[in-house]
Amino acid sequence: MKRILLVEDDQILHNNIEEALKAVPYHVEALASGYAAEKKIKSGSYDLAILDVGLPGISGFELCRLLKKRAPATPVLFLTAYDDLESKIIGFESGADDYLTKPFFMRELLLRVNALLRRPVPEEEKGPDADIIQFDDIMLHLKHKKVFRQNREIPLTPREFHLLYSLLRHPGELVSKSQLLREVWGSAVGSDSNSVEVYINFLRNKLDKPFGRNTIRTRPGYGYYLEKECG
Amino acid sequence: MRLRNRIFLFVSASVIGLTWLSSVIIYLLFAQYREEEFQQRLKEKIRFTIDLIKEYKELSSNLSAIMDKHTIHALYDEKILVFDGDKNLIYKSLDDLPIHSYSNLLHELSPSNPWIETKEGRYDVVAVYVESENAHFYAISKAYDVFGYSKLAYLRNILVIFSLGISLTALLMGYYLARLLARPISALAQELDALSFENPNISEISIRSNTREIQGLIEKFNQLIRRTNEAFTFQKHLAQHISHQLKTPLAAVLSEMERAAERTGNTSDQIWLRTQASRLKSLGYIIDTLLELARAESGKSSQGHFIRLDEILFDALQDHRRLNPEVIFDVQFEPQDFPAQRLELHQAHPGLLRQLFHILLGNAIAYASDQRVELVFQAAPSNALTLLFRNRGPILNEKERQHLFSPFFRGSTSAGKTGFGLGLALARRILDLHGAAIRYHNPEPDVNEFQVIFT
Repeated sequence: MKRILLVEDDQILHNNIEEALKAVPYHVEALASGYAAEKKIKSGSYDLAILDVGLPGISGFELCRLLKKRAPATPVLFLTAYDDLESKIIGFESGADDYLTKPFFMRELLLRVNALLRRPVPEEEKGPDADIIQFDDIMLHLKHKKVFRQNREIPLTPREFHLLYSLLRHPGELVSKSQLLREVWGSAVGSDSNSVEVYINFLRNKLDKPFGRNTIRTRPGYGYYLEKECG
Repeated sequence: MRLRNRIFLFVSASVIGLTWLSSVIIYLLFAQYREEEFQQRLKEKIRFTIDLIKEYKELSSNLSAIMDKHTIHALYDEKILVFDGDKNLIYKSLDDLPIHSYSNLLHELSPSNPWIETKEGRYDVVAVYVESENAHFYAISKAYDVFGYSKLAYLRNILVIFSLGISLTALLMGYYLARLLARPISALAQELDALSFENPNISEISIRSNTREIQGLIEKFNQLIRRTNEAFTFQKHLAQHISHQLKTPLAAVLSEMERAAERTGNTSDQIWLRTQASRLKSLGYIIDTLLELARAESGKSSQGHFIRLDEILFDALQDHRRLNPEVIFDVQFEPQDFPAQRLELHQAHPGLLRQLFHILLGNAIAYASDQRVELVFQAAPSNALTLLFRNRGPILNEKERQHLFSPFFRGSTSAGKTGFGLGLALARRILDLHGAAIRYHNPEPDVNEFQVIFT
């Protein structure tokens, strides 16, 4: 059974989240203060941590840093009352994997928890070589979410990055539009959407055209693939 | 004008002005003294001459020679005329210096006007009536004060050299003093110029001065900066505190309602509880939006975030998809070779835009009769970006449209739907903040379309 650490100081919320998680079922260790959580983090191991940002004593950010130092692979979901950009930046810098703003539906929380627990071990944790994916003169740094071509950094948005990553995971192989749509947009976008075509065009404009290359290819009716150019 | 230049100008102008004024006064006073002193000497000389005339009356034939010898030894470049009581010339010095105005002077001279002094060029002329025992004389003397003028010229040269020296010194001293006095103020002004009020943590002024007033000014200013920083910090955390105090209890109540809904066996109670939970959830969005709007409109929210609208919209879309897995979102970009730059905003509030998309997507989902929502990114030829949010369902009548973006407006189509009637009013405020517009349109008789236009 998956072990979840829950740290939330509001007693009602604390009890209801604990109850909902146990009903799944997960093994939950529910705490109400930062100090108690600090001790647990130092002594135990968890598959996921749900941390409130504003905790008495030690803040959720500090607990997250401590947890990520001890167990970098453990995903952290923050519960926050105020999701301004500055707090999010601090949260992600301290190692947060996801945010959920209060008030939330329990279903929403459970969906996020499930998604984080299902998430495969990040490539960067499989070994140092897996951190960089290279194809031709394109280099994709998974850890830093950066892409370089001919040693020049190409600024990509998260979905452009994800789209390129999906193509690079199958170098030279055809990847269908529906597969790309599913991998990058999940189930959020219907299959009739032309988002893939548009984003492939965005990628080409950033990655191919400035370098006079034609690496991202289309096979009409089948999908997309990457091809190295000879010479 | 810079303070340093002002001090330099005032100090040097005052010292130089006073020096030259003093020199001129000294020169004029000495010139007057010379004149007075020389005229007295001429008068003495006239008396002496008249006394000699009286004494050597008998030796009239030798008088001129004796007198001239006296004259030549006494004053150079001098003419003296002596007249008897009837104004007949009785003695004239041998000097050939002419007295041009002697007849006028003689005419004006009388016992009632016994002293006349005048000048002919640089020559001093005195006319005097002398009464001596039983004899009366009139005398006119004209002479050039060689020694007096020489002294005056010497004094003038000394004063000019002295004044020039003082002026030069005053300029150098003025420049030095101006720099010395203005340095702490200039340093203070430089530090103040470098202060950025964009940064919520304003640095204190680091310079120190041994001038009491300036040090006092620095300390007061640093106090002001500390108070400003405290105010910034308070305001920054105020939204977080308000949010925490309002939304944590909301989250607790919402979780209680969900729990109660799960436990109750009564379907109508279940529906009622879930509806109230949805209202609480909406209230959370409204609180977030209002706090973020208040921060943005008062300039406290961080500005200048570069964002891509499509990324924020897709994030919001994924949030809604999680809660409404049955809804299908059809996303289209028009044209297919969509220019990515159209989606970029350089001065955006990402939190508010996310709330905006939550509101518009939430509305589209709530009012869609076929659980389909169409989203269209349109790149118009006029550099504008239009986002279309479409859903099929009952539409608003003409009268209702006028109030669509007013707070607390609930149209006839919202009967039985949760909400407070604040979403679209907030959406408009968010778009106003970004210089964008929102319109409601019906492209088909049963299609609601919200157009969001970024220009």
